[in-house]
Amino acid sequence: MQNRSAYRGLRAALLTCGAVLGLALCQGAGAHGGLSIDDDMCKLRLGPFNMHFTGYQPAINGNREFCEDIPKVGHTIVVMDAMDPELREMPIEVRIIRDTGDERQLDAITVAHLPPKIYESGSVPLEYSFTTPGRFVGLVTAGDQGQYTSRFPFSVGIPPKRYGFYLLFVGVALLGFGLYRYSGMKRQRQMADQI
Amino acid sequence: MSLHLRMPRRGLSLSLLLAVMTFASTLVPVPVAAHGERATEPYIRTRTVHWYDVTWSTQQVGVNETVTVEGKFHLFTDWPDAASKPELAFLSNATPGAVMTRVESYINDMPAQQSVSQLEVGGDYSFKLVMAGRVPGRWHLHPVLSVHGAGPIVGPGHWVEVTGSAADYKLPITTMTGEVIDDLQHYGVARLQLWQAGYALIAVAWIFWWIRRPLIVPRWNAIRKGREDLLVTRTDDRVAAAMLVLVLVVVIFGYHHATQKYEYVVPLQAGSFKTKPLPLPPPEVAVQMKDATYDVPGRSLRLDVEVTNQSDSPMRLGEFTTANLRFLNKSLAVALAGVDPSFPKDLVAGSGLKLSDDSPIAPGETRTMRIEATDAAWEIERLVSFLTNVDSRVGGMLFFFDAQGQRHMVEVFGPIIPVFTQLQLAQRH
Amino acid sequence: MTENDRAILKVSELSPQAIGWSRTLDLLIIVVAAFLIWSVSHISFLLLGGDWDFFIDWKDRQYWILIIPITTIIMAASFQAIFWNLFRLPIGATASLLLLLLGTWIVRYHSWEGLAYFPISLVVPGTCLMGALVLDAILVLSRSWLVTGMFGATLYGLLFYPANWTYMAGYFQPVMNMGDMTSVADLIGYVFPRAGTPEYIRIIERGTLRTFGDTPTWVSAFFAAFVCIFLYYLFWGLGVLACNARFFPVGERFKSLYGAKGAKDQTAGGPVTQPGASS
Repeated sequence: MQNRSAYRGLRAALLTCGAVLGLALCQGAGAHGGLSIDDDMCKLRLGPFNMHFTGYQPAINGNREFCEDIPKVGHTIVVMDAMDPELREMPIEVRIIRDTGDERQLDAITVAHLPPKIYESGSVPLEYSFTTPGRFVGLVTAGDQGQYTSRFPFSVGIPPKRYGFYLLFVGVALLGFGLYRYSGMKRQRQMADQI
Repeated sequence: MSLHLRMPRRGLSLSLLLAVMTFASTLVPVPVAAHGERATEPYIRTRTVHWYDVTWSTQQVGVNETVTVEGKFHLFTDWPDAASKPELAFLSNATPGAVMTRVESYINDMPAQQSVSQLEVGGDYSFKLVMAGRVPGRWHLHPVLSVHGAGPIVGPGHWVEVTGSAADYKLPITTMTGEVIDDLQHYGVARLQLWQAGYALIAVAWIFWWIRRPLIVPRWNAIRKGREDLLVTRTDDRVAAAMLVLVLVVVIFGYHHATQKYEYVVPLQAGSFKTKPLPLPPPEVAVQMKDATYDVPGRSLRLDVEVTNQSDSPMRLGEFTTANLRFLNKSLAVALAGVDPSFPKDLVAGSGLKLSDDSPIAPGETRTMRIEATDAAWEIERLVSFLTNVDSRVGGMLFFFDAQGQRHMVEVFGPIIPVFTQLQLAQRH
Repeated sequence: MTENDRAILKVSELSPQAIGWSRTLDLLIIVVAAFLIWSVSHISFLLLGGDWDFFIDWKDRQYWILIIPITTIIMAASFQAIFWNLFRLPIGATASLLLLLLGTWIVRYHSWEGLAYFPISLVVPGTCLMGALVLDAILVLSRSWLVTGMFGATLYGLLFYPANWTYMAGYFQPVMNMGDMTSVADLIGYVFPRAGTPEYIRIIERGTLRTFGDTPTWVSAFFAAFVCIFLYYLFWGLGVLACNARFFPVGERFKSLYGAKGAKDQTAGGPVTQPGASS
């Protein structure tokens, strides 16, 4: 009986730690509208097509790449690369708007705009300097009638919530506590054996 | 009584002092000065890399000041089978430790921070080493080509005096991310030592927690009497659990802090670069070695060669060079002029080159001649052990000069036989 | 002296005089054992870990992360087994790594800086000390070599990289040198020449590990952890073997050689095994 409870204690502690670690490691894989990490690549879904999305802040972060949220305000370069050849033959329009919740007056809330154009090289570069932190929405439209659209909200200069990081500490505390409990149970078992 | 007591005591204190001094002498670092450039087997030194036109920009530098060693090297066609071919090599320098620092190094004007691969046997390459003084002293500075599988092949060395104070040496750099590093030789050390001291402190506390109690005999007895429950208590469990959590928290926090602070890092660079041999015109002289002997007691290398002048200008032999030793034809001014004033005198043989026939070789003429290179340097430079090597062959470069003073470099190589003729002659007289 | 200490002394049934002597013996053994652990850990590490620990431009993402934990855990496990089996002292791994670190620093200053003029930034060592503490702590909590190997050795292998990255990350910042991009570590290795250590001799990552989102380091760390588990068991076993020292009976011929024949003989008979040396 004691034996079983000792192992149950150990197993519970390990399962908790495993779950916490798993959560911590998975923190980067959240989906953002049409933007997601898929096969180790940041992808933008545009109807049946895909574009590879990369954000850079060379002056602030060197050649580090971002998928969705831009970490700091300042000079930002976003490059979208066509993954399907069809995208090279249709006009693509890109618009970044402030996320006000109301998109009827599109021009009024637009901060950056690339009018429809055919990109033969397959790369659509967009440069913009964000001056204030906040929430924005990217709108990408492709096709002669603009039939393929993608909408992805993102934040600029808002530090990400590090739940995963804090969860690691919770996991460590649980591991210590779990092993301590396990040790106590084992001790009781040994005493019971001696009696 | 007192005398009896004092004597052994003095003896004891003397021997104690001696012991302490002996022990202390092992703790005081004694730097070495030489670096065994003569230790490499002669078949490697005479038949792999031939350094020529080597110059030293100065022989005295202050700390932080630079000296440039530059010149060319020829990779010998008769490369010994016992050593690997120069598939992968690194341009280095020989100094006793890091007394001088490497500022820049180039092979064929290409940056040589990494190794160079696919060098071609028979080809010529230029090199340049820029070194800065760091530790004051008189140091022997050589260029070195380290060849993978053949070892370091040392070029000619010259004494360079570093003056000033070692404390003044400083190497500030700025990283591509904009961090300014005041001095590369101390970079990161204090931070690392502080952290490791912190780690060590936890470890010392942990060990002290255990060894402060009755240890060896009582614990041993307690185990034999089945009372190990006394040896590791519930309090110990608590301390162990707390330490486990502490260690993991410290590691996670430290790692997180470092990845935040140094977001942009690169792995160690491990590629090699490639470069073609220098485009030199082919020599217009053909040389065939007929016979080679080394007169052991006479310290004389004799080569019987067949020379064909393929140019339309008369040629004279000006220099024979091998293993960084230079034997010059003293009657040929253009050959003497080829020795840079900065070139170390100890590598230029005093007696020079003796030729059986020094008259110009006419265009189209084929002549058999004897070349004698006699000098104590063969012995001093430990070059005669080629007589006991697995590969008893000799090689070197012959520098011919045409009427316009144009230099034609030709390889000469072949088997060599040791003889004692000169000694026999001396005894006969 | 705590209540627990008194209980241990009571159980050990030492006379009051012997208790005093036993403490002197403790101190002597601490000193002797420290030198022994130090030298054994250091020599084994020099033979097996060597260059990866010597130079900053050998500390790559692949072999350094893998080799340092697996070459240090062998002595950590052996000493842990010896101290635990004979005295229930969970300090073997920590002592091995702490003394190794101390010895390493002495050599760095005495030989590397003193004899070869290498700057300390070229020869900074890494350490598995944090892993060793975890190994000892888990042994206390689990009191089982099986559990310690499974979880302690895993953490031992895993912790090496993050615990050392804390202060070594800065060495891997990019820097320009002669028009090439390189790391600060590479630059330190280039600037301060090691005549007998050409660049190509480095056994470092050659760029075939670029999976898992450009972070091969953690792949190496997990592999190190995996190997550590097996090496821990193997060398724990070696430690246990070392605890079973045996005294063999001295033969008649040996005794007559040393003039001990005829003396009162208590060692004759079967081999006397030290008790209490089970795992």
